[in-house]
Amino acid sequence: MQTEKIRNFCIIAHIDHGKSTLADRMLEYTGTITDRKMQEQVLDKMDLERERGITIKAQAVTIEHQGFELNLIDTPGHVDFAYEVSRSLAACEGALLVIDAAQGVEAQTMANIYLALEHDLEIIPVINKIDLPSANPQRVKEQLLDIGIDPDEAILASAKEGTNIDQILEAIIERVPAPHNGENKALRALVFDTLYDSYQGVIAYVRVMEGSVKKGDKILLMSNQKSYEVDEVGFFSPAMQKKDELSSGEVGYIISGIKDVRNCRVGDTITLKNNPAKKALPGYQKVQPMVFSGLYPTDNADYEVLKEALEKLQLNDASFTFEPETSEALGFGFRCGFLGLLHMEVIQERLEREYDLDLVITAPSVEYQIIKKNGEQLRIENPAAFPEQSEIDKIKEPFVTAEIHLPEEYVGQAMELCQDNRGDFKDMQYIDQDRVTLKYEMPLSEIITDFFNQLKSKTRGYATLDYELEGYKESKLVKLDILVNKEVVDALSTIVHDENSYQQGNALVRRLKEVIPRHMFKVPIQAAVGGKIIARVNIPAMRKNVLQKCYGGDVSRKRKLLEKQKEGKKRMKQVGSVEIPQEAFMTVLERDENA
Amino acid sequence: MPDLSFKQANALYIHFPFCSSKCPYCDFYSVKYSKKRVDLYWFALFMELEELSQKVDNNLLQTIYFGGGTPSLVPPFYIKEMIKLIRKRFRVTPTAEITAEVNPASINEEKIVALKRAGINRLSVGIQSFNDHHLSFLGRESSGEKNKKILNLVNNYFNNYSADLIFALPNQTLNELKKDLETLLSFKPPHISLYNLEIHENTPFYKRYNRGELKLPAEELDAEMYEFALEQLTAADYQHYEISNFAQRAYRARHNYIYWLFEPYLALGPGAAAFDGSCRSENIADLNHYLKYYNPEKLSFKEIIENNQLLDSVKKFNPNPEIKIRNLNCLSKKEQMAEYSFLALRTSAGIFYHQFYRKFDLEFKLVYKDEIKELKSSKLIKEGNERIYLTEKGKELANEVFLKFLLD
Ligand SMILES: Nc1nc2c(ncn2[C@@H]2O[C@H](COP(=O)(O)OP(=O)(O)OP(=O)(O)O)[C@@H](O)[C@H]2O)c(=O)[nH]1
Ligand code: SF4
Ligand SMILES: [Mg+2]
Repeated sequence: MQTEKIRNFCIIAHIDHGKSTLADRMLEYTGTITDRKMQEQVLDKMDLERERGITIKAQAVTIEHQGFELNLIDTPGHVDFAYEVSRSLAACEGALLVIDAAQGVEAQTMANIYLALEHDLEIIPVINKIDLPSANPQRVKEQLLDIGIDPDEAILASAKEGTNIDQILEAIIERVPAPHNGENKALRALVFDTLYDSYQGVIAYVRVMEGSVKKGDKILLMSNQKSYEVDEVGFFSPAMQKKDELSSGEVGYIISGIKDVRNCRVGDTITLKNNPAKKALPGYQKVQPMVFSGLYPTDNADYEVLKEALEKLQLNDASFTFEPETSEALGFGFRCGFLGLLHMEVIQERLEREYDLDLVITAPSVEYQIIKKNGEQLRIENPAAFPEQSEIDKIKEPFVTAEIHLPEEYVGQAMELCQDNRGDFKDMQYIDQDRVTLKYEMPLSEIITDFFNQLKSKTRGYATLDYELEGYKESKLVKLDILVNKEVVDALSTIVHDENSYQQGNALVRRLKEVIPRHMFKVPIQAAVGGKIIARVNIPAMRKNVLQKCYGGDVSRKRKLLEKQKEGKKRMKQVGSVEIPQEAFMTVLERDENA
Repeated sequence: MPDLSFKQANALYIHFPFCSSKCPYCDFYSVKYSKKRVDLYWFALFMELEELSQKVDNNLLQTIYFGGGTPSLVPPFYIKEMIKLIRKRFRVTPTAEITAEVNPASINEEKIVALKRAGINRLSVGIQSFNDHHLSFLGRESSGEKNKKILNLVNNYFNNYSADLIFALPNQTLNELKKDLETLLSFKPPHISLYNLEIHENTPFYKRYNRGELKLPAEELDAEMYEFALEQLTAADYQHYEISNFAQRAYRARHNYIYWLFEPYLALGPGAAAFDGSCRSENIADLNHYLKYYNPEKLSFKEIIENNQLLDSVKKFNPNPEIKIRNLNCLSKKEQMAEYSFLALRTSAGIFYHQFYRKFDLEFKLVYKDEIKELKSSKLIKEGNERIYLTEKGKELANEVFLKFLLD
């Protein structure tokens, strides 16, 4: 295809504003997908995406329209997957910025606009969901004006009802620039995503920037100089479809029998062995995981399975990291880094579903910088690995700027919540008469402990949140240890602010009391800071546990009930003589609503 | 279809799956009582009995048990005919224990007498409580006064009977249980079954419990109540011979004891379960299904009896082969050992090593060496004279003990 006839664009928006639904309509309108194959949010392929109704992975698809080749990338809206968005942007020249006509501009709308501007993309605003009774396109236009986007360029649409899809397609052809023509140059293709298939090996999703590639070519991965022969190239419609050649400006896939997932990384540049490009494309900045937690197989025998699963998942999602770790309480496992809590949940769920693993997950933590009295500097993201309190000179923790969009009437509650979470007020601005943006500087560790849930419940779901890493700052932090039956359980340790340690220690031991079952003996649960006990509760000894009735009809049922109990016990982690259920390790995360 | 094979079975259970209304805690199989369906059902039962008698030979029944549901809803002469047919098809010892469960709400003096004439020699009376408030919470259609009246009548006509009591009800106080026990003991029933309220899946209580609308008493209070009851009953000379059962001398529930001894038993009716010593079979708990299978003639039971045509019509039966009415489950040896152990441990006698050996050809002491040691050291069981049995503490924490006898 001639480059003048190609348009590469992505759809970006705040979560749930209708990106995937808009993509559906475009696929339908252009006949890319027949009615028979159509389902809602057809690009959300993963079970997890369909169940949760959100996009997790960016998805590419090629549309033919009026002689043009339109390469669309649908992106996720949730802040945790912002990385997916920025990867997609690098493969495009334009972006459809979708804004919900009833919700207006939200936190990730702004974040995505900045990303698009950074990549120098042509932005086409689409005000979606105009079919809703609560839609207020005029207000959205005013908001657009305020943030420097020409409201006259906005297209009003309803993805649900298919209103004005033609106008959107037209705007893409007219306004999005054609890719730069690099036909005669050496091949440079950006790997923006990869997928592993057990038959074909790695499938590289690429945007060809310059040159072209076809079956039989010998390609070279520029980062590691490994070379492979191309088995197949093609595009997405949205299923993979073979093609003779991928040329400059196009988006598609390359299969070349790469069996080892580690040899084809997202962000790499593919070139030809016989005519290599001089310089690789800029690629991607390595994303820094912000949230860390320990993942342990419930059954220690599954360690290798978990390791393999993590490797495969990492190929598909380069934004999370893992490295081996051991815990006295939990045995062998991995410390994993995620972009946020939802990301963590998604990875964990995928491991459990796709690899049938049963996991214990420790409470999320951030990465701390520790300066010891002897001058030694450490970076630690596992609370259990903290040095003794007495050896520590200073602790620094990551701070973020949190941007909260919400209706004015909830400002009071939101500010209170921020303050309770060590937030430092920075700014407040009106987006329009009744919507406000709050800016706070806050420790990331507070954001990842249930902050968003509480914000939502305090604002009846109206607040949206975006945050960006600001840097490290010194804080008065201490390590809060938990002792179960007088033994420190390393996997339950957390880092808390000195001032909150009593209150948090208290709340935590109370929650643990709820989830750790009674034993045959009394089990004390204590919280300690620097060896000093600051809170204690007892789980009383079990008094009565007996199946009362057992007659002819239900002997086997009773046996099965007992077997289930026994299974349940097996799934707990034995710490000393106490059995601790999996949930206990996560309860550390929760906050008392009224604390 | 694979089936049970009985070398010897001494007990027969007959399920009567009808109740006038459903108690919200109950997970026994029963449907709403309807005269027409009871007639058909009784007919079908005869057919199953006939069918069963062909599979089993040379059995000597020691116990027969009419359970439910609410067998006291069925006209006593139905029961009489049933016992007659059982006696025709099986050998029944002259001293057999023949029990019927009765619900105070659906019984009166006339029926009590008629049941006795029909051949029933033991009643199990579903008292549950004498407290009107708790009775109505349990969905029982009786009252404290009524329960007392019925116990009095039962006492007059039967020298062998049992009364059920439920405790650990939401908001129940120790004092309320004390009153219930005092009232019950004033009748000196030969046998008492005492259960704490259990929440079973698929019951209305289960749903309410999960929604947090129903709160059971704290474990401490539950234990205190149980301990209190044990004290009272022991002081009144009852033997605590099974976790939930208490009897005066010579009045143990023989039928139930056969279950705890892991001995075979026969069963009739939907939802009823039979055991041949290694396999369990359970009739699918669905009355319509059951009726479709046996497909009884749509005659009124009375007509048939009066015309003396019962046997003829029963013989005509041709079950519908398309329909499967039971599930068979054969236990592995390990499962058998586990069930044997936790059943035997429910009784005060516990597990006798030589009996275990006779059954499984294995030394109990070796199979469960570590478990015995651990349980002894945590004082949940005692060992003595080539047997183990639960301690008082072990009775309260019996599940913790039972778990140890499951084999991987
Ligand atoms: N009424 C109405 N609802 C819409 C419209 N477009 C999308 N929706 C609904 O909005 C919800 C979210 O739509 P999605 O298309 O999944 O949103 P998304 O932006 O892809 O969400 P993420 O990928 O999770 O960020 C769904 O329930 C859609 O049915 C519209 O034009 N009108
Ligand atoms: S009367 Fe008995 S069998 Fe019927 S519902 Fe009540 S408890 Fe269950
Ligand atoms: Mg989506």
